[in-house]
Amino acid sequence: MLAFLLRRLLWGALTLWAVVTLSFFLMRNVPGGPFDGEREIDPVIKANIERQYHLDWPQWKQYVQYIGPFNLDETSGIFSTKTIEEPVSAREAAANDDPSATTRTVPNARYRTDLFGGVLAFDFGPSFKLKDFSVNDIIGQSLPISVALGSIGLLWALLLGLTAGVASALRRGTGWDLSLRLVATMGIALPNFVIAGFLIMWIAFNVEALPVAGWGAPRHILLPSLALGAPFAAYIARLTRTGMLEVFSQDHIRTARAKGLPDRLVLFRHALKGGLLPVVSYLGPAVAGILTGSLVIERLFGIPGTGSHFINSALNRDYTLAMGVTILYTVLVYSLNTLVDLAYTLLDPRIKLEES
Amino acid sequence: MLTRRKRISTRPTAALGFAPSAGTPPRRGPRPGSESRRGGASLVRTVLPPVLLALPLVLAAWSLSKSQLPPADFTFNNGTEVATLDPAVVTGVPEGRILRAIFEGLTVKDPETLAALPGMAESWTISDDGLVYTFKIRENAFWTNGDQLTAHDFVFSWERFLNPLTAAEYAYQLWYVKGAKAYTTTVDPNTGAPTLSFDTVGIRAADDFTLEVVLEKPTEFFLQLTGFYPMFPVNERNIAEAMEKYPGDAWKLEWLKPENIVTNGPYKVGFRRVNDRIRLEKNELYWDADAVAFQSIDALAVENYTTGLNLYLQGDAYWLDVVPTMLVPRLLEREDYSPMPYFGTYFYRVNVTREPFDDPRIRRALALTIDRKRITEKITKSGQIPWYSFVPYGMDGYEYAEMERKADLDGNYDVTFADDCREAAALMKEAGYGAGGKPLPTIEILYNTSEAHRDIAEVVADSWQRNLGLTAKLANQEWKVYLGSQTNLDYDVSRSAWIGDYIDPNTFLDLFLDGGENNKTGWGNARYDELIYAAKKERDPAQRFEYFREAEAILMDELPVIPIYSYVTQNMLNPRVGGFPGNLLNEQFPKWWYLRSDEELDAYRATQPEYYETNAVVDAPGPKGGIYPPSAPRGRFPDGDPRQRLSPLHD
Amino acid sequence: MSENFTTTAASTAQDEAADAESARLEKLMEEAEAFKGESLWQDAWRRLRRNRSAYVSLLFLAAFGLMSFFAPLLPLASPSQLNLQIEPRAPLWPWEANPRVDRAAPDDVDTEAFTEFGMGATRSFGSLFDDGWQHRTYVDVTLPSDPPAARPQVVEGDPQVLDWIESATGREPVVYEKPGNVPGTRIQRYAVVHRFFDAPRNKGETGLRGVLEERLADGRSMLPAGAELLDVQYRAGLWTDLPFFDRWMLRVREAIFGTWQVGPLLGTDSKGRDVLSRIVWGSRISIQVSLIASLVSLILGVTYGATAGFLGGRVDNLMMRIVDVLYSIPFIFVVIFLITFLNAHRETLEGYGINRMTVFYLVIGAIYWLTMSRVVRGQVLSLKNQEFVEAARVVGASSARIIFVHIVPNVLSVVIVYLTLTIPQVMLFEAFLSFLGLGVESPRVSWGLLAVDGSEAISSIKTFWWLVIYPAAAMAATLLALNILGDGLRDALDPKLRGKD
Repeated sequence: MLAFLLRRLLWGALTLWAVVTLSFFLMRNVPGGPFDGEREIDPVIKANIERQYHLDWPQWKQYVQYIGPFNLDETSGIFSTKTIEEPVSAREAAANDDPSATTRTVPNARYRTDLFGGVLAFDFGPSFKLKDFSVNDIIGQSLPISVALGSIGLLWALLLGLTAGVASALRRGTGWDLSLRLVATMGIALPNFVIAGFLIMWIAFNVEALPVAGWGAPRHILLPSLALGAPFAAYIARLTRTGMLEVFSQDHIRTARAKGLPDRLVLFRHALKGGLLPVVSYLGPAVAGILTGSLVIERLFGIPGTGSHFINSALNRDYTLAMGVTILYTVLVYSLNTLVDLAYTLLDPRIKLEES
Repeated sequence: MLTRRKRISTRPTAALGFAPSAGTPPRRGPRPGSESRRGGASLVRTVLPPVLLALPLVLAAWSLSKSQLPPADFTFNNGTEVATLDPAVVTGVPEGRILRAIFEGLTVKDPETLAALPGMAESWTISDDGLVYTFKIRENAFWTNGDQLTAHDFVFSWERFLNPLTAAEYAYQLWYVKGAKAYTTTVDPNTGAPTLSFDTVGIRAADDFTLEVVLEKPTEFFLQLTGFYPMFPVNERNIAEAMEKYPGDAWKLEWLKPENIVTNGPYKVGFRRVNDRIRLEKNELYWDADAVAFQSIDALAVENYTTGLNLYLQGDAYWLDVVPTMLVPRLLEREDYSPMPYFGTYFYRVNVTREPFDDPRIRRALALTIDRKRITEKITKSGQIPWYSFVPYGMDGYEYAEMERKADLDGNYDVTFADDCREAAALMKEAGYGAGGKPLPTIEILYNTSEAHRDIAEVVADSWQRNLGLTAKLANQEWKVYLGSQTNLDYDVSRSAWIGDYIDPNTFLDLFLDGGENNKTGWGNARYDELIYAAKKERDPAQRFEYFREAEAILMDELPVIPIYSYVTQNMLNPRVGGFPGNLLNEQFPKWWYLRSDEELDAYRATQPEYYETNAVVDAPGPKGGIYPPSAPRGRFPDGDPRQRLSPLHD
Repeated sequence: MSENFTTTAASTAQDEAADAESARLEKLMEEAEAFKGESLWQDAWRRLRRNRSAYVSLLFLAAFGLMSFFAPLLPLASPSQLNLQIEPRAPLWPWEANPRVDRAAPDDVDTEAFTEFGMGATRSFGSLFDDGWQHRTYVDVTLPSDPPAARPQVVEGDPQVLDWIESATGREPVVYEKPGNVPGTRIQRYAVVHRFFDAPRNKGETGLRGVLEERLADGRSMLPAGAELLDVQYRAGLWTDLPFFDRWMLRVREAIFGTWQVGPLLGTDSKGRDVLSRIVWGSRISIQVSLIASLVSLILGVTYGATAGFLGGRVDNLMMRIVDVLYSIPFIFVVIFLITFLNAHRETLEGYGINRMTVFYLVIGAIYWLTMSRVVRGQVLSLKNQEFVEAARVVGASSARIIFVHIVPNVLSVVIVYLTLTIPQVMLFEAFLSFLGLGVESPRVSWGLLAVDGSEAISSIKTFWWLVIYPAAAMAATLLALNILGDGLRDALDPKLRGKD
């Protein structure tokens, strides 16, 4: 197992490097810069803005600075000090405690060694658009929200999906089965923003307690997570139904039933575990799908999660934020996949991790 | 090799319902020698599923526990996340709203007329030549950290604002001050640091409470500018302490964090979550705190229009500044949606460096054949005004120079517009295009990707095709790319818009100075430049406007820009909200906001019976008793604006 | 391909002998199968037909696919031409929606769009072939009106003007009229529809228009007394860049239906575009995208997966690790990058024939092949030790031959099932991109775009339900059918489930 995890880690690092490199150069070669605006900026000002963010460097140098915890900034002269001396007017000098001082100290905007700590130091730099925040800040604020939304969404998916799937397997061929399957298939067939629209119309505007949008209280999470989880609930329902049906037809279940065990016991003791395996294996893709789906749901419900930065940062050419979010999602998807694989082996003794 | 067991990566097979069959031989019994291992594993197998199920709940609870907030007194949708709270670096509209709540400049603007009122300066004098402004700073003004606000704060802030190292995009707004432009633009090319001393700039503190500003030349609207958000002061100690407290460059972000930022406005920053909200709290140290009604205000950052509207309709927001276009006809029937003129023009730039647009006749033909009325009635729908001059609607005392035309908006538009189209066709022919002449050009209309712009472009293209017989193609580009194409004059005709910074023709007309940065058409006219410069120097308002009018007449004759309509605001406002008179720049002043009680709401509605003949009364959720500034006697001001009585300015 | 697939010259002869041998064996097998009565595929087909819901789904999809492919033949309004109006217009019943213009228009309909000549007087109401499809020239003439013209209507036209135009163009114009702006007059519009060979694309000044313009100078003298020539307009068609076959179908349509077209049976959107037409035309792009993307994923996935599975060992391990790595790349981000990148370099790239649709196909295909390759590999792993593979190996067949001749056909059933499940996913992905503003661009239309428009039409002020329900229903029905068909195919093809129903 340890070997498996180590190997996974190694591949993960490789993946990450590939993703970072690819998106870094892609991003910077898309026309339009982060500081282009409707109003033209004075060239002096623009040059200074670009200096602040290293945009005056060649791309390879920006790349190395972005990756590494090394500082490529020249460390002499004006770059090495936090403050710089400026000529001072006689008038100001007179106002000073020390009238003989001819210079004064001002913040050095050129000094920025810590602004770009580098990915290896887990520092993704300052956001180019949201200038009050570093990318770490933004991710730190928004990730818990996305995680909450996504995990409750997953919970909905499991809860609704498993119940519907088991119910429909137990009552195979009845009207229940048919209608549950129909609803489930509708859930798969409609884009989640349409589902979300209906939920808002039918539920939020009729149930006082459920707000149409926003974030901050537990009641805010119910609808969006439902909209997020619905398609996956539908999928899980289908998987569960198939899995259960297969298990029902197996010998050990028949034996258990023949022995006269109550149905409920058979279901929970024996059948469920086998029937759920396909569901567990689906969790990996489901988690990835929920991450993507949250882009839409967060927009529609005005939820300040990470998904909302996904598109905006790309459109704004907010290089650092875009990179930060990309890296975050890569890590998330990769580690969740690994986790699901682990869970799968733990649940199914027939499967070993990897031949070592 | 042949007996290799199934590896775990067949998940999708499983997802199809084949699982877990693919490579697994159906061996189900316990494997010899694995008993002990399975003992532990089965425990894991029992414990794991509940843990996995409980994990999301725990995560959600943890995340929510961090984000609970009591509801604010007042909530509005600011439309997007503000880029920064640093007044020097800010450029956008949503940012402006927040900054006007948390900072206050030397002057403030009257919320209705936008005339300058005393702010941090309780009074001012202007020298006879209009060059020297002396501001008297009020002595009861404090920062939120308890410091007294002095003239030195303004010197520090404006120096910081103009310093090229701060890289303030709006620095040019203060270049009316003597020496300011030179100070900002004279830099060491290697470091970008200023080489001139700030001494050379006409800004100085004569004493703690007297600020003296010397201008380059008389500037009519300078007092409006001092109320403009880039000119708001920042606290020096705020920055200095952050520099000490945070290692490296982190102070650059940290001094603006809610826990650190020091402000001087009616509200202060209480809480901030990216893409969610900024919670503003009442600043008890504010000099006019008694005029401030709410204990807290939430500015939301909801970007989706429909979501914003849903929030409003459910009573979770009191004000939106934009609504979904599809619903506009319905909303216009309601009392809470009433668009007002907005000081901006929607227009098309024409690239005069390209053939055949270098010929003014062609440009005029293009301008004449745009069916502006159909655009405003059927596409924008909110009552935008079909417009034929460049300075938008609402400039009091200014006589617009409209482009020459026959189209008559009030009379028989169809017939008169058809006359214009015929003239346009004749102009094309005169310019040598069409049957018997040069082949008709193909025009590409550039616009940034957006449904509304596309629809307008389509109508325009249709008009041109129909009336001039030329082929017009649409080309959309994503925002940043579009900006690049415009700057590089890489277009034929390009959709554009301009919103005034202050109420003066200058903010529109000085765009088209020859070689101006925002000109972007390649057009230039010596006489035009002369007139604009003359107007900039002129002190007599009437003569000044006359210069502008003449200049605009040149612009509308040569038509490097084709005006289409003059903007209107799209505010959706709960009728309970008072202290929100609306103005040409659509600037709002949180200081004056309050909520009306039930009785006041009825009384307020009763004051304008005509309006309610065409507009339906709607539910106006909110506290029944209203929320008022502490100094306000309850129920005393149903029919007007609170500032009339509340602010000492109006005593 | 790796060296495993190449055979040395020395072994070729052997191979041939072995092939001959194996062909003989295969023939024997075939005979055996013939003896048994049915092949795997026949059996599957029989099972599928027995599964009523799957069979119905198949028929539905086939019908829908045909309709979508032959959309240009249908008498539908243009899906892209704006017919500006204040609000979306609700669906009409067939008898309301399809009045001839000379019949009274329904009272509850805003007659403005109806009366306005320029923007397609008749588009929503059938009757005249709309100008979204083709270039046309309008000649407007004012006539003294006696009796006054009440409503816009199709008329015979003034014989003299008709003659003039016909002699100039060789085409018979369609004529309709409306009351003139000056009281006591009426305006007649003679619309001449250009054939595809009349006016070469983007060259409006040549062809029919040129002819008319030439005659314009002396046109006045040819008019009847009291008539006045108001205007001659040339309108370029909107969708004239349709592929050849579609244009050909449009011409067939014109021959069959003439200028008649179906009214807004499913309502219009806020720009007056016919929802029915948009759904049908939108299906073309959605189906196209999902089919091509699925095919791309099929080809990539089957090749890769089969190779990995067959080779096994280290190579398999490495190849699957690579798939794992690719799985973790947030592809949505790559899509955003690529699409913004593409938009920026649009002109250059389009020169090479790369447009947004191509990128769509490639990118989406590139995402979905990963899963496909895993599926195929799994199947191959279980197949490759079976007797028939061993047999082929024993008789000396090459690896490539074993993979593509013996294994891939056996994997095909799984692949087809998976394909029916991929297509819905691709459609949803397209909708997702449209929601983010990265989907197809107007004037093109796809179901994703319609779903987005629909989701915007849901609000508590006024829900324009026909903008949501109909596109959603079309989408749901198709995806439902695909899913049911997929299930049915799986049941029919998967030997494990055989005989259980």
